[in-house]
Amino acid sequence: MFRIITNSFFENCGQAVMTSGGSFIDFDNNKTLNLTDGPRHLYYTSATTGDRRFLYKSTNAPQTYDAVVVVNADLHNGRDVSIRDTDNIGDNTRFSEASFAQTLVGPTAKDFVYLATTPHENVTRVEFRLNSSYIKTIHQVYAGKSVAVAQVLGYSRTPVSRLTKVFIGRQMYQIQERITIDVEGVSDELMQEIASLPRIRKSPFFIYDPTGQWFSEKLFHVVMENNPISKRFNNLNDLSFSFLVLRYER
Amino acid sequence: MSLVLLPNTYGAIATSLLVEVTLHTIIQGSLDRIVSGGRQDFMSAMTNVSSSNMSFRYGAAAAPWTHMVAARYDRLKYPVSSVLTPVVRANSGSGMADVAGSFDYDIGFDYFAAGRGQDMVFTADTPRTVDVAAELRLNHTSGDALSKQISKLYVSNAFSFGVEPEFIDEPTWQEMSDGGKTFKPLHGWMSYPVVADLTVTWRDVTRAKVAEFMAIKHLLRWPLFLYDDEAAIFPWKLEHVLVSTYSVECSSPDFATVTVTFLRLEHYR
Repeated sequence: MFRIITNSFFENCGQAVMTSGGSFIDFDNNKTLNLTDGPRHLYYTSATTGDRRFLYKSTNAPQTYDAVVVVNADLHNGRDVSIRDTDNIGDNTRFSEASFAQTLVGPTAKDFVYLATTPHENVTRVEFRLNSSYIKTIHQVYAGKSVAVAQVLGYSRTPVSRLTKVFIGRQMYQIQERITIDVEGVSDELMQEIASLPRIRKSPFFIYDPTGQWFSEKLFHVVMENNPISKRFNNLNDLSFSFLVLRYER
Repeated sequence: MSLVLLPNTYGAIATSLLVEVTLHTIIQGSLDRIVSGGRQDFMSAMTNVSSSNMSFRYGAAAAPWTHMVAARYDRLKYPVSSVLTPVVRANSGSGMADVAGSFDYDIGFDYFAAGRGQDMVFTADTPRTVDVAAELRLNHTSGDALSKQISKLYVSNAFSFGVEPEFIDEPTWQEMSDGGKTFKPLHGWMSYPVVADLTVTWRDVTRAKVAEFMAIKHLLRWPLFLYDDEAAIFPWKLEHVLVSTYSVECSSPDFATVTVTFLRLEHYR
């Protein structure tokens, strides 16, 4: 089984802001959108060493999410890191560590994944909070409702030239390798769920193997290369996903 | 031991690289040529060395290693009247000390049918785990001065897939037409002259071994050595190769089939 994690919370709510805790930060806010999308080398840097809270705020209907992915979370090792949200009951702390020392995942073991056991519903705000005193460099922070894909038949991996790149819209992505995953017996409902993931063909997203059953690296930052659907019978589909893994350095 | 891959583990993480003659540091300009590159690249000293010791030394953060490879070791022995005794030494935190192990001389593909290969491999008796430096010291005991040339010095942590490679027939290198071509590695910028290719398949490779293989530094950028110490696959034991590409096919969570295409580097007299 693996999970597809998109930045669905942001895509459905539409507002990403940086605050210092109490007030909206405007002096270093200009790169906040780098955290919502794009290649891995894009980032935000705080102008001062004060606290920063990166928020996805829903101005629309409340959202559901169960996963938060922080790219290059090794930059926050030893710092005060927490993930909080606000739902229809009140504020919640979902993850908190005064001296961040989580086991990181991904090909270079630099990314952090928070995965809830049950999805958090009716959420109007998700917050990635950094409280220690340091200049904060933050790469992508995704919050979304993951989709679990079971019945994995197998996979293949092949490297590509370092010059390989793909354009999605106007954004260029450098590619490290291609991963093809074959899945059988997928229901129409799950097919619909995958197809309706926001910007699945327009933005990078993550594939996550929480237990490392298939991939020791557990997490890959990818873009979709193909249209994976092939129908076998009613309510029974075979999929052959082809993912292009975004460039990483060993 | 089965067929192992010998990448330049220390070369990829080295914080310093020294060549010393009787403990006086010499030559800085061309040292990078012994870390990576083709067999045509040499580190070359300004003058010959006589009646002295000569060391090639890597300094690195503590890292495990098992083998040391010297490409074109034959050039160090010119003129042939030179008598030298190689010693491998390492520093595990309390100074340089001799490392127990065995030398395998005159191995590597005999490209010119001279009856012997051009390279040397040293295998440590036990894997080294905490060394911060490793060196090849050449004690010049008698004879004419050494030419002081070497092509590559690799300090390698051997990688094995944990299973024997699968060959339906005797492994055969496919020579390229017109004597070869140049090849730019998938993740590299420099082109290498290559002359033949060989595809090798390992089946039932564990997930951990797949991850270990893919984590080899500069796997798709730098040449590495294939070492068959029992000469079970290659009679000449050693191949100096580039990884052209590979594929990992997995139909069970626990076991994968890994297929790697190697390119043999051009050899020179």
